[in-house]
Amino acid sequence: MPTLRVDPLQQLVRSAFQDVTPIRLNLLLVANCLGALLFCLASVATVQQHEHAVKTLGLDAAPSVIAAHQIAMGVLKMDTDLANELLLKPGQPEVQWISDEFEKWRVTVCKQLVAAANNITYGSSEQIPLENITIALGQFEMQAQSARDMHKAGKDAEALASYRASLKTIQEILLPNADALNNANAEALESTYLQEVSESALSCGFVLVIGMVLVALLAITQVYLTGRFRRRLNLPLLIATVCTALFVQHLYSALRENSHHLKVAKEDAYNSIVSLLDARANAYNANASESRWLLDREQAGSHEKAFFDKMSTVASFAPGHNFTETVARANKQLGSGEKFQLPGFKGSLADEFTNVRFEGEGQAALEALQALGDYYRVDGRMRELERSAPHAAAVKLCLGYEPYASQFPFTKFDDALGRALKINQDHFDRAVTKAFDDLKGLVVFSQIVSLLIAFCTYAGLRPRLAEYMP
Amino acid sequence: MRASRQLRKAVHYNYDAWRLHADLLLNALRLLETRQLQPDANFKILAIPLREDDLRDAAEAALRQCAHCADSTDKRIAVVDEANRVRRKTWF
Repeated sequence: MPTLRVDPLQQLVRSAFQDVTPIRLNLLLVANCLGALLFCLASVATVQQHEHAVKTLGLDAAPSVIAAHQIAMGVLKMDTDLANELLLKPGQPEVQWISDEFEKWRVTVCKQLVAAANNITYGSSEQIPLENITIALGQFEMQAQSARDMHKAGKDAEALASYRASLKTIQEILLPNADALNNANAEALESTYLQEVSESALSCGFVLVIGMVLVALLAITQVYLTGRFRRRLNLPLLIATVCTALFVQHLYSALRENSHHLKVAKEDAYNSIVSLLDARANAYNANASESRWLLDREQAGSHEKAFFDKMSTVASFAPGHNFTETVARANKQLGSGEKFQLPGFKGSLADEFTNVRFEGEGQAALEALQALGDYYRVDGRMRELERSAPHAAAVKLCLGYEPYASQFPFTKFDDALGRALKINQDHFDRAVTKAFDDLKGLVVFSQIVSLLIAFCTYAGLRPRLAEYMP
Repeated sequence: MRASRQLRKAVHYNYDAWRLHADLLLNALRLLETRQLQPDANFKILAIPLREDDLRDAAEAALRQCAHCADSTDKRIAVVDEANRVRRKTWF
């Protein structure tokens, strides 16, 4: 009779399907240990994915986006101060103050450059713009100084030529590179966040399912031991089951909390910060264009166009809507605690109104809109004055801080924007800190719990397996 | 009782002796379960009082001794399984 040769692997597979107690015990031991390992890998990968998203948003990209905006705003403020200085006669009392302001913004830009350089995460897409800005900033400062020197020497034509050269440096090098720095970080942030949003529910669900499968496996092992060995409870397995259930619940809720805090940081705070910074940068640009319009009469047309273009990116209205009507509507909605619905209102300030989430933010946005409307009206008066009255009267209205002059509402607008920014920045920082706290220790905890599960399973099954040893 | 006396005379138990020992206890247990015998602490079988828990403990111990003497893995597994089936239910 021929003997049937059976492959060892086949033998193992066959024996796995037979109801032989030690084989079943070994299978349960291996299954539980593999389950613990899979759970460990899934939870560590998920926690690290969440950590990456929080780090990208809170530490890598958002601070650089803010720094890029601060650089652009600082440069525009320097430009405004330079134009204003050139509008005044040398020796006028305001000149020193304006010159100090220029210096203050120069220091701000330098500090933001260092901050951005310290936070380079995306290689050359950040490094090259920063290098370009650093090089061009020196060039701009020399051109600005040259314009000042010519102005002091009474050579206004040469001063204007130097001013135009400095403006060209701003428009062709400094602002585009600040934009490039902003885009490199903003794109990374948006894509990481989108990925996080789409994968978060999936990864959390996956961890939950693996955790539940592990709990079920441990429970099956417990039931098997109870039936087969007439022992009601296996203490190590009970400990493993309870620890797994508690940890899965903790992990799942921590990941959900983290997703919520990430959402607050990105959608509620960061989006508002970007809208407000855009509004501020464009308003600074418009304000600089206003001064340029008075300073460079030969190119007044293009400066006037730039003013209205930049203003419309901050706030623009569809036909039938305007500042007065929109402010009244927003005021009413704020008073009744409604969510802002401002039809016909567009621009970065309008974006902020649609994303008002925190206490005091709506009030600050409303005050900014109101002040911007006032600024817009004063600008109209200033342009009329330039055409109909002596140039000095228009300059006085443009540079004055009196309640009827241009800088009064503009400063009010800037202050209100600053308040809204601070509210959002505080909530952003808090949400990012909480998001990091949610994940703190989870990787180590996952590894410890998985080891504990494997150890407890071994400790629970080892004595039962030993019964079958010779 | 005669079997009990004979077994006690044996000095070295082998597989068959332990099997017989266990079978005696298992039979007694079955008689108790089917109420053909009444529990009696004063009546002893193989030095074990005629009570369910004592008989289960002794039968389990005998079957585990039997497993030590088993000459094949299959036989050992079957006897240990039997010992676990017969043991009294405990918490841990």
